[in-house]
Amino acid sequence: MDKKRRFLERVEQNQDILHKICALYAGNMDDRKDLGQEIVCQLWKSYPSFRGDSKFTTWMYRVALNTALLTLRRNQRRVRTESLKDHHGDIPAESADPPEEHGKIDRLYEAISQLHQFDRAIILLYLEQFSYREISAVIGISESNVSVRLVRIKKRLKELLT
Amino acid sequence: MSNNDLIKIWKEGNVQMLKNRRFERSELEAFLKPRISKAALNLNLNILVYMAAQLAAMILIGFDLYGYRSNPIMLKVLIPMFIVCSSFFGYGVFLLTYIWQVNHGNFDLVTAIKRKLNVYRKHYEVWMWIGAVSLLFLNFALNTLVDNDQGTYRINRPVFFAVMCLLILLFIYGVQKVAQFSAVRRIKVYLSDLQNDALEGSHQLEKARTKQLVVYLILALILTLLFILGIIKATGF
Repeated sequence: MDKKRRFLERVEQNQDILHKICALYAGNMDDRKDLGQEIVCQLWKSYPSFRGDSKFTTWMYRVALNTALLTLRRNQRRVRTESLKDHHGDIPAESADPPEEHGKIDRLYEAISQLHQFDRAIILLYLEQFSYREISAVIGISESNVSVRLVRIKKRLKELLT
Repeated sequence: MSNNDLIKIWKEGNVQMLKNRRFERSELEAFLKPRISKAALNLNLNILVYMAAQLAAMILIGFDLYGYRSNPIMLKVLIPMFIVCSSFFGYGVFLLTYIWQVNHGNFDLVTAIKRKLNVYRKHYEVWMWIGAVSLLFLNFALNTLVDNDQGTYRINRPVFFAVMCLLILLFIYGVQKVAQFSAVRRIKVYLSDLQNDALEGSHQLEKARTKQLVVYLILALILTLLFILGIIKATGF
């Protein structure tokens, strides 16, 4: 029971990871909740394999991205037709931040959503300020490949954002 | 726009966006209730069904070994059958364990995809043949048990028997292949696309699906007609 409590605590502390991945890989609110559930379930099933060799967040990204990529197909058609409103429709209107701030993050999410699913995972980790070595360990490609891909992805992102 | 701008937008934007999105502890706990992926369930169920058939075949062969204990020819057939059948069962256990490890292992994304592809490309193909042979063994074990004539069993037309066995084997394999074709192909193509950083296969598959449906309908129509013709001929109308 302690193990379960500890697991839930850690997931709760790092639940931002869940929300970011769900926003990038699932279309609407229902799909995002389904994907979130799928990821938490998979994290719990894989928890015995976490031995603390890497940081908990790195392990969580790895399992969550793995689950998201393999669950993506189910939602792929819907994602293509989803509007941006559905993506970030729950940002409250009375928020103190100027609408311009929401616009920027919305546009960034939309631009990332247009990338290939692997590239989405790489840029997510880059934006989360993972080192090339850490990205390489999560994705399973060489550091030089990460570097080459990132140059291409960032170029593409900037094109999409301008 | 610099790289730092991207990181800044990401960080600040997410702080605001995620402020209103929190899962409560109770929600997270509810997420842990067992959910079974349909694809995984189908594959595991298929393996378990054939393992049950192998187990049944081993039990029946066990009875046969007792029933034909004084027949050296039958023993030469039944003992290797028992060994092969138990090896198949062992392969089933290995496959279930392998799938479990792939689904629950702490692998990087590329390794996880490669391993999943490996299940569908190699192990599952082998398993479909094993399944067909297992059912043939089960059928033979049942026949020899029922037709045991005081320790002897006679095949009146050996060539016909061998041909029929081969046809049954191909038929069972074919039925499995057709039944799983669509689902397995979809998963293979998707995983392959993911591995190769492309989407071409998935797009082509979407287009091919309509054609496939038409082919299935035509096949179903032909088979139904043949079935009706067979009944008409058999009843002498």
